[in-house]
Amino acid sequence: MHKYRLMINPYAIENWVNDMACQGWHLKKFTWIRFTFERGEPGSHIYRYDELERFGTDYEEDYLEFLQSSGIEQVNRSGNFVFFRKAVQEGPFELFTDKKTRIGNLSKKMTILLSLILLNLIIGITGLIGDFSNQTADWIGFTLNSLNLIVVVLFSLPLYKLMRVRNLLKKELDVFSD
Amino acid sequence: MTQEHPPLTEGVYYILLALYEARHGYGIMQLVEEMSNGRVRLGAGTIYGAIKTLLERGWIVALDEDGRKKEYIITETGKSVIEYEILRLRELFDNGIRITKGVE
Repeated sequence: MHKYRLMINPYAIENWVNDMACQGWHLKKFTWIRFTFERGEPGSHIYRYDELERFGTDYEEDYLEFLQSSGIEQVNRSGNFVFFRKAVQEGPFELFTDKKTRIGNLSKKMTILLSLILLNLIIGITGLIGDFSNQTADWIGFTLNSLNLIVVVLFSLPLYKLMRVRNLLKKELDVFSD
Repeated sequence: MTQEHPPLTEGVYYILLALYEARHGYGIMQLVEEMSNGRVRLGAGTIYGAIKTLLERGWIVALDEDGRKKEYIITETGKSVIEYEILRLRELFDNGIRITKGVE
């Protein structure tokens, strides 16, 4: 079965992939938009996502081997995005248990989203002004620049959600060491 | 107050303790879980990140690779960090017991 979702907020995607697994649909392959599921035992595995770029190329193989030797199965990889899974009976499965790494990962994700939002906002607004500055309106330009603004709207909610998660973690760090 | 070493995170403390004997990543994970009676479960990504940092600081070293899994062991510098941390924990513990008159 194929399903289509935009990988804007990977944390939301991870939750969704786990919900699917609970219903007996296990992730097999994915791209940034298309997800392929296969029928399996409901709730038999926990799925986790990770992005590899922070380790750089020379660490990448080493990191993946490390995870594998820890009994973690690599489901599929698409660019820097990787999905892993582990059987439920082997206990709880989290890749990152320390808040600092989680805050760091969230910050990186937020920086990317924020740059995309700002870029589209600037192109969208300056474009729209240009489209209507001549005697005849440029309707093709108007459509394209409207798309820029749709991207802004589409990315803003995930950015806000990531920001909330990060702020909660930061608040906990005020009292708890990790 | 000046401190020779700032407090260690629970994860780093237990990873260093686990490496008083040579172990690979998964071995560290299992021992830490066992020592803390299942309370501390370190994620593989977190352990990997911590190992990289501890190697850079010279608190642990990687042993020559034997087969597929890489093993690590604590260095003398790492041991002195742990010893300092134990003194700090003892101070926290002693003060806690003295003021609360002990737990139960």
